[in-house]
Amino acid sequence: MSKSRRSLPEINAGSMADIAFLLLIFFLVTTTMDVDTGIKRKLPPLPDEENVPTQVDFHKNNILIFDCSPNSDKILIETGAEEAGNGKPFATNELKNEIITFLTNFGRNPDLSESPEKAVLSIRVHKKTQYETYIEIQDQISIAYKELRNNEALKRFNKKYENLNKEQQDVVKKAFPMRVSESIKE
Amino acid sequence: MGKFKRKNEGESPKISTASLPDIVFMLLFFFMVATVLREVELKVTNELPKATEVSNLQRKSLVSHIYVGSGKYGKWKGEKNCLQLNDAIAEIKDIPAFVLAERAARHEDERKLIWTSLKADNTAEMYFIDQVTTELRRVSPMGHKISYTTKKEVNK
Repeated sequence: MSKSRRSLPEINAGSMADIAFLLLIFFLVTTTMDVDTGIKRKLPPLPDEENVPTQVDFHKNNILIFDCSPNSDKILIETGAEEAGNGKPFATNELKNEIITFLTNFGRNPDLSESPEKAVLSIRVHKKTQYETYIEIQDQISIAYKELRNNEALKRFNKKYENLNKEQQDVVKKAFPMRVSESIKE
Repeated sequence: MGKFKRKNEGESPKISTASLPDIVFMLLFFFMVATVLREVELKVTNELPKATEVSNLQRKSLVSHIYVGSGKYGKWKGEKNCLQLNDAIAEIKDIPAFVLAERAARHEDERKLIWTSLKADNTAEMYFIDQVTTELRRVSPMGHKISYTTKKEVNK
């Protein structure tokens, strides 16, 4: 009995919880959970007098054109070898397979690409095309390239693409370089 | 009924709340670690598109944000294709100055590592996006690193 009387009076910690709750609520309100995720691309510089894009004489069959008009949910795919305006309609989630067939043609079908190094994917948007559609196409291109690069990495190094070191990744990237061009139509 | 007699009648036993602050602090630290501070107040709608094949943007300090969407307040209310830089609605011609300011704010060694995160609304129209990217290309003679910010979608 006498011991407790001598000790210091206890500080009331009852309000500690309130203070912590206040801080907690402050953080809940002012912060966001989401991390920035996105499709990474590198935009080329604008062509000017010093920096004229080199005119390469390439075969028309090395281009695959995605034409997305604003009032249709289908995307027209035409190869450069065909007459313009003869595109076939595809749903956006079917694009991946088309891209892979086009890239891995290796000259078998004269209408498709000669080799993945020479192939160019071209996105042709209209003025009023929704951003959503454009992103879906970019996404499908990313998916197709990821699959192709992964296969190539497994074939050459017996490892997944993301597990390769920098030099090995460059080798695989060189075999399947991503070349995307964009244009806007009135 | 008087078999069990209470020792101190009328006084219910107190539940100790001494560990409550600890629990709340634990929650607090979880939220502090798992979240990031909101950077700007959005003045445009920003319903991001979804994509499956996305990668994270590391180093938040080296990311500059450009927002595109329909205006939410004031005279821009309901107007399609508005551009927001920092905290205010801006025009296309303000982009080069914005990019240069973002560059100047970073250390010289880190300027090459800056990513631009384009946060555009689902309904933004491509002609506007094209104007934005054209300006970005204009200020970057070595090419411009851009990330089309999307929500992550689990494989269908």
